Amino acid sequence: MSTAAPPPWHLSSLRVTSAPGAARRPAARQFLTDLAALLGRGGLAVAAATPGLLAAIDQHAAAIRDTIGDGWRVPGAAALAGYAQGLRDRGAAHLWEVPSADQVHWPTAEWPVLRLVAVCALARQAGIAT
Amino acid sequence: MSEILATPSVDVQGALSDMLRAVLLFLPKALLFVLILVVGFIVARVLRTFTNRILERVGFDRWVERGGIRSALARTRYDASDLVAKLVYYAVLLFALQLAFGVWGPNPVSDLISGVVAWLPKAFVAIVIVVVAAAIASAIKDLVTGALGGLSYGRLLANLAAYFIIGLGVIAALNQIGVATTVTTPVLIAVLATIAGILIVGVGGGLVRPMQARWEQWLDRAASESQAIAEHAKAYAAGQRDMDAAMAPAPADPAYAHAGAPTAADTAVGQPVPPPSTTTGPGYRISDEPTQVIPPTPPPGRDTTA
Repeated sequence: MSTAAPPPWHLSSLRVTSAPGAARRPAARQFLTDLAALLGRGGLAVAAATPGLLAAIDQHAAAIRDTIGDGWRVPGAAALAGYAQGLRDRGAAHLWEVPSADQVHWPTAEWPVLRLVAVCALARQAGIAT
Repeated sequence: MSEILATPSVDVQGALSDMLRAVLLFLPKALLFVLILVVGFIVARVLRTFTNRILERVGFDRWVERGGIRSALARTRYDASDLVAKLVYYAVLLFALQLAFGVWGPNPVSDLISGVVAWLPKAFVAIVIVVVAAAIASAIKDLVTGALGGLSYGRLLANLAAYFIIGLGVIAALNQIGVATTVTTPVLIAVLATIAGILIVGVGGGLVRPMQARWEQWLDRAASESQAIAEHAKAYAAGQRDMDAAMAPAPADPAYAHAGAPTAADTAVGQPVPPPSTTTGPGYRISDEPTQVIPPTPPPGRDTTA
């Protein structure tokens, strides 16, 4: 996962990432960077222009903070990457793929897409990925 | 009466005949002794010249030049083949002496010579040990000088190493010929123990604190990594749970009569199907109402310390 272009997610979504190597800081950061490049950057750009979308993403981010953090601080890179990988892998079991930002119709975006964009927003807040 | 008068002459004759018998018994052995000595002497001289000639023809002196012996012999009028020939000469003489004294059965001189002959191999081995140790010491001295010559103490180290090895060789040779073993062995043990003690305390003791710092670093890194692994696993499980809840159709909504067949397109805009772990508003709706900023609060009844 250290190639220049973001990896094709429909291929990598079938791989289970629960190995300890995925938790290490460089792997987690790389994953979040790839996710941001694929979906997060575009989504957050659209959200910056659309307040409704931004509010929904904020609520998703709050829920994620409650789930994997202590509710107040932004979770770390390992936790964020683990959450996003859990979503993606379970989505693969349900035959759902992570779309890229330009494939998403933002007014009718799905729940998992907004969750992943919220993960990217949290990563940006923590300074992990842009 | 003539018999009484005749007895002294018979005694003298008996004594004379006894003496003659003793001399006659002794004489062959003495002759054999002298014969063996003469023959041994002649054989020794012949062997000496023979060995000398052969070694010189073979070029033994050129081989010996490789070692440090040439410089040792340069000031004498012998060369190496001469020395070896002399050794052969004395060995043959010794052997002849042992044979010669052996004709008289066990006697102290024979025992002495046997003792010397038994000691000779040990002396030979001791000489070999010293020569080999000297060669190794000079080789190591060259090595160390070549490797560390640039340093100010390079020559000192090389000399120390060479003397140490020569000392070891000398002590080993002395032990081999059995000279003063009760002095040389304890001295060797004391020197080695001192060196070992200095190394242990100096090197080992000095390394204690840096190793402590290293260990702390490694353990901290392991702890933080294991914590990251635990967080990752927990978040992974949470992500899977949330996705499952998102993909499952809502149980009480009549619009989802086909509940039980989860598809990826269930959650669309406007249809409230929140997974139990989120707060309000799954998707978002275009509306003209002003958006409200809701501070993040954990929903009641949820376990936030999963």
